[in-house]
Amino acid sequence: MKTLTLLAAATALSAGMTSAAWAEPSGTVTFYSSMQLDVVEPIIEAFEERHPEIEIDLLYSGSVELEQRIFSEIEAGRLRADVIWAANPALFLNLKEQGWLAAHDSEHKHAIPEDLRDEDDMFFAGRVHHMGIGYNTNMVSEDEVPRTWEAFLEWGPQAASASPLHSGTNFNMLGAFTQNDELGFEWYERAREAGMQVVRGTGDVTRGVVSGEFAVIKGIDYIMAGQAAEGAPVAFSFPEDGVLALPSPLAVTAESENDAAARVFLDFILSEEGQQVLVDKFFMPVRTDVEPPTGLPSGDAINALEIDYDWMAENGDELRERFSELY
Amino acid sequence: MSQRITPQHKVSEPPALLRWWLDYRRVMLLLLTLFIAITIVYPLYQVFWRSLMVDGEWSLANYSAVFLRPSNYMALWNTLWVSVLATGLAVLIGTLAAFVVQRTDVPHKALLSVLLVLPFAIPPLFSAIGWVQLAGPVGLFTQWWRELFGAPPPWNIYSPGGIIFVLAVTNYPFVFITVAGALARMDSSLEEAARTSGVGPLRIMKDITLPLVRPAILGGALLAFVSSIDNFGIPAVLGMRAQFYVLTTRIYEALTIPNMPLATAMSVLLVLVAIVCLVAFRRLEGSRGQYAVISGKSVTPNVIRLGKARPWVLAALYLTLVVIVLMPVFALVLTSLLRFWGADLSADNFTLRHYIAVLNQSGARRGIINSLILAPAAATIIVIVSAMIAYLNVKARQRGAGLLDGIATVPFALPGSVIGVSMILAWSNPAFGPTLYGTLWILLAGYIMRYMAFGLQSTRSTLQQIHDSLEEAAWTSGASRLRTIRDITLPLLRPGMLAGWVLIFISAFNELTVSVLIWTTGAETIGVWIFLMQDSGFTGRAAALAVLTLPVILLLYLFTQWLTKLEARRRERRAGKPDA
Repeated sequence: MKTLTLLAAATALSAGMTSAAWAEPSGTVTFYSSMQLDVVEPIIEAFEERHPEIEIDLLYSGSVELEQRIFSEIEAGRLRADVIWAANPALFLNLKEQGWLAAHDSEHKHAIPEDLRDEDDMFFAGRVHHMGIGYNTNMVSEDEVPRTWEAFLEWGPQAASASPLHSGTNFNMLGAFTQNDELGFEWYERAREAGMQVVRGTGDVTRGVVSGEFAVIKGIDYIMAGQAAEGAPVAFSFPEDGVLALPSPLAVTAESENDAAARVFLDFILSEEGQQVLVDKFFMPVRTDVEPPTGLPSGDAINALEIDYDWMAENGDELRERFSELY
Repeated sequence: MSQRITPQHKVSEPPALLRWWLDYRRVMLLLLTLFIAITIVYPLYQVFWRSLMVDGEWSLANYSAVFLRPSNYMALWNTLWVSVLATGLAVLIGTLAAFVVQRTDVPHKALLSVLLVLPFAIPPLFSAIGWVQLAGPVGLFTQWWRELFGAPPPWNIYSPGGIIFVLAVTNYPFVFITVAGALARMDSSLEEAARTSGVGPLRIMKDITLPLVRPAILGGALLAFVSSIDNFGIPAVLGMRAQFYVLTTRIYEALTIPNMPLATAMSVLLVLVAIVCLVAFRRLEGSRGQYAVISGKSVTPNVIRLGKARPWVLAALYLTLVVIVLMPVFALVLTSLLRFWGADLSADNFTLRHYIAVLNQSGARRGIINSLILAPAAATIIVIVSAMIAYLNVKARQRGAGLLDGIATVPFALPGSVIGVSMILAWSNPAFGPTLYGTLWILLAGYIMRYMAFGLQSTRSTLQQIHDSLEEAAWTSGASRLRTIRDITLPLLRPGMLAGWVLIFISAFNELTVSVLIWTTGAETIGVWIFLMQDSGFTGRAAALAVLTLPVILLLYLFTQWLTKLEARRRERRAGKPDA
């Protein structure tokens, strides 16, 4: 295993140089991802240009559908994916525990802060996204932008959030709020009283704020930035009392049929070049040596809420139950 | 009435051949059972035994979690009353429209028929979103209303009423297609007899025509009802904001955890509801005995002359069509042309870039081709298999065929995601046979499982309309059973098979919830790609792709209309000749 890893790292470095032909990773890598297509496709393109002998077979899917698929495959006894990149850290803890992931001693790991990677090198954050406040710039003037989650609720029924029961990011948000002493689960109770709307998924809140049905939403940084780039009247702000910073883990699977090539691909996403592609798409990089996108504060200037994923795994059901009784 | 004629038949056949015939039917049943076992029972079994396991041990915990939770009964109750009302409305719209198009002298019949089935061509994902765009708080209708009356409109799309309305206008084509088909092939001699005895046209409708097409209305209503109870997109988009939950939105919650066994246990609740309804509908259908609806005599439909009312009826029909059919299509087209969803309707916000972008994606192009292969393949296989099952069940009265029919109908009441998961469990690492997962074949298998009910419903109801006297006449004139099937039963069954084929084609062409779990690179479909675009935030591209599929569905419908006409003309010509 170890030699294989070294080999992969070596070939990644010497790509383009003529090393022993038999050692060159090649073939197809099956890549499961819930990252938006306009993010993943440029990365794959850049990678395939670098490594023409490796082909990436992308299976993009919404996060709910991707998890269903992964768990069904595991249940049937065979995981098709060589590399997985999805938005829910709990999924990776679960996969790690069941032995479906392979450790990878990536050459890039020291450029990535410790809290953005697994202690056993089983997975690494490939990107980070934030949930803060998205707002419609036609309805909310510069000085009306909520600075705190309390101010967010002043918008009453013009404020909206996707359901934690249907959206993974919002579920983690619910957990982070509940674990926070200041906000607590009580924030959702106050939201209910204030009349905050809960709609199904991220797509529904986004459409709502773009069309002016909602003034403020619990929004995701890159989605808001992407919509704004399309010309929609929306913007994103980081509330002072905390945002959710959610890493999207990336891992090589244990029973990968093309292990060497899978590792080369994973390393590319973590490399400066790969991370730069993400920055161009308004994502916060996971590397400390890559500048964040213009307009976004740097990682350490953001007040991120603490979130304990083990606690989430343990209390998830109860949390869902509590929320579904409320809303 | 439904006396069997086979005894006479037996006498006229030599005993050796008789045995061969009995075997022939049994062999057929055996093959069909094998087919159903592989395509439906085996995948179902794969999900269901897992719902009985908790942490590797047999347990009913999943079921008690579902059945002992009061909020699930609330959701069940919501599912029921919403679906009943939506079905009622769908039956009203579908039946009225079918009567007007088939039985009055209203002009533009071909155009009207096409427009009336158009809602089927809109991907389910878009029907709810389209209605939000039209009638939501900042929708077009809402804005117009405000400008006209200066007050907020009296409706709220985010309510049970909104769900009922959108379900009804999405599902009424089920009723329209089945009723229009039945009216087209119905023997009108009874109506004629009544008319010559001086009975008025309205009473003929009420006392003769309506009872005669009742099986078709019930059949269409059943499809509309089951579609309503297992619809997820509409209650999800419209109901959640009003904190109004139905079974499918609850099941989706279990799927997001993801807790498949729990979702399966909940689906069992849905299946039970569907089975109860199925039995109830069968009772209603079965008690009527056998009508001589199709008796082989020439068909000259009883047409009501609308006279002075004609322009009014036409205007009312078009107005309804514009509101419930064309406006949602318009919303879809608009979305595909606007720079972003919700942009102002000014000239510089219109663009073709979504079309260009989507056609540049190889996956989307493959998706179009794959769907064009999969939809007709699934439709053809299902129609042939279900015609054989229905024949054994209704005409040959082979024991066991009814059970086969019942089993094959069950998956229709299952949420698509449960079928998707069952496909992976069955075909990704199968104990026997080929690994279908990763190929186009698994999609075909998924569609067959999901839409078997459509084929069975349309072939069964057509066969029930064909009176036994026709086949009996053929046998007594010495024709063999095979020849009888070829010359009598099959030609009469063809319209029903065609209707089923169209229904399956259109549904499979846009299918989403099953496909999204089992597609792989190279095996994409249109529905999947529309969903992925939508999910990635490219609402414009998703809409563009959906618009591109509209002509396919329309062309298909026109083609089948043309086939039906051709058939009718052929029959007329044959009936005209003395001894053909």
